[in-house]
Amino acid sequence: MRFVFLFPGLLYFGLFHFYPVANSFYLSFFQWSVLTTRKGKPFVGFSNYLDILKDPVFREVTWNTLYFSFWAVAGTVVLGLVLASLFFYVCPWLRKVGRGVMFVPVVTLMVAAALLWKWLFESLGLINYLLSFFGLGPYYWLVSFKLAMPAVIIMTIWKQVGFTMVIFLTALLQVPAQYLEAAGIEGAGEFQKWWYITLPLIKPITMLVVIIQIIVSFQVFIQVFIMTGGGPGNTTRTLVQYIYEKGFVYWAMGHAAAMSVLLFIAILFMTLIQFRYFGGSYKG
Amino acid sequence: MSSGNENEGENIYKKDGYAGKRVCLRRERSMNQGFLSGGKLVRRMRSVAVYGGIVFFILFATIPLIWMILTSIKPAQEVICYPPTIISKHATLGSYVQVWHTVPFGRFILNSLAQTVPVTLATLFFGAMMGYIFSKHKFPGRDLIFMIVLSSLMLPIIIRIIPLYLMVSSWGWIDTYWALIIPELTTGFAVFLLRQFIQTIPDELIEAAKIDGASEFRIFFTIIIPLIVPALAAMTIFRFMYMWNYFLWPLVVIQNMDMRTLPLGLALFQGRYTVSYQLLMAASVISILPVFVVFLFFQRHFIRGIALTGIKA
Repeated sequence: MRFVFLFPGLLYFGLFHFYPVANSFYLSFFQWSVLTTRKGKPFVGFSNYLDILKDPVFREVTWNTLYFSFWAVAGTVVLGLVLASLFFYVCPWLRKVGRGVMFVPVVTLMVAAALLWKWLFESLGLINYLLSFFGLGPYYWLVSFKLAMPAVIIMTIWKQVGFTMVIFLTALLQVPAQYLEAAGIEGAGEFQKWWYITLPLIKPITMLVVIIQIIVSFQVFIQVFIMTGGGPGNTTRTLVQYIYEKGFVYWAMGHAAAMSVLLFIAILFMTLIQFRYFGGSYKG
Repeated sequence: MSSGNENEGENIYKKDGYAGKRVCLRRERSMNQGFLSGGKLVRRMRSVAVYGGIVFFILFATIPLIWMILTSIKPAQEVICYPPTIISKHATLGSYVQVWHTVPFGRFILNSLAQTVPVTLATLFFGAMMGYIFSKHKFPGRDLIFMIVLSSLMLPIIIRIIPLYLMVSSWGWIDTYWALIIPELTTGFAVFLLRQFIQTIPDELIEAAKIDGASEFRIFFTIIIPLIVPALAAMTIFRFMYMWNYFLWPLVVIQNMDMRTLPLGLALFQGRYTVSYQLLMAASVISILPVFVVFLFFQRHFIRGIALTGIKA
């Protein structure tokens, strides 16, 4: 009986998750495109991997993805934590309203959010208008080599910070009030209590948020696809976008498969770190 | 840490002289030390900074969305004006009408629903079924199989996309609902979450039902399912939002305009009408509206869902 229950699900995971990954490995050793027939694709060993590692664009998109991930994760985690703490300790009466307001961007459709920010960052858009009051600009955000990536990062922080904030709010709820009270009686100030007691106590959840945000950031695609299309030049092209383009625009599927294998290894690596930190207690 | 502040406390204490008051005052005083302590001026500046920060972030979160709405009700020639008008004097809902005529927008919404609803239901169904077996049945290799299923969480679509595309296209599924639905039937996360929940159901309940002669199907549908409704609700929200946003896979398997889902339609919309921001914003508002209404009514569930499941959208 239990196999009747289990079988469809296992079949699904096998067919649509594990088989394709194994196949990605397999395909990455062949030189081919969709246009060549299955028989006509020669085995080329590691040459797809060598091609990629020699490809300057691959290096560039990898760097862009890491750069994006660093700032997007740092921004969402630090700001989420600070905001959660402000709403929790400094003005708890604003907590519910603040939580609701900050969460609205999270429920916004990502494509719509990206279109919106593209509009805000236009040279005649709202952001340049607001900056002009401070005597700044105009900046050509999305077509500028220097500012395009920061613009994408700002948009991502806007979209995600409410999410990390909500997680930190629930984490702060679990910090035992007695500890803080005891520290207060000992004469610790608000900031000291936050720094020396709250932060160490929520360190595990913080690590978890960081790792999960890194894994999510590695896969950034929609924002750049819509806001900049990877440009100007390749300054905002990301790894996922490059895999997509290699595979489905240039039909160089061997190269795309090899890149997705490399991305898989990176994600595997992050997951292993996560397991090391959290053992078997949490599997996200 | 101004001495003035402390003296103030001491004085009141001396005047009143209650023991209980003393503890209160000490606590109050210590609360005011550190971050919000210092002289009156410094303290005021700090609280201005704190509240200023909060106000800044609330504006940061809301202004873009307000701007989206304000843009969507402007007439076309006003959108490209600089400096921009904040609230248009000739506000119009014309863009909201025009959107439906410029692209098959209604069709996009239907396609999105045709993908999202079956996928969400299937996710719950298969997730609960597998979660039930993995938590309440014992057989050799169970935990190993569970770990393997769970490891599918490390396999986002981009890693599988090329073989999956070849597979789906060899079945002739390009531009069909099959391609949108079948590869997303359930997730390792749903299995994990629902297993965690079903584990908390006491075994005695299931044993009792078995003694009464209930079949596995009956136990699953009449005992297990009703008891995990909160988890199912959280999972519904996650899955619905995830699928409503789903982009990369539809981008690859859908070429026909009439088969595009909402995010896809919205994204490719802009390629054709780059300057018509009032149209794009109107379309965006429409696309956000359903999720937003659900969010307003079920805000508690959204937030609790995140708390409940740890993390993961």
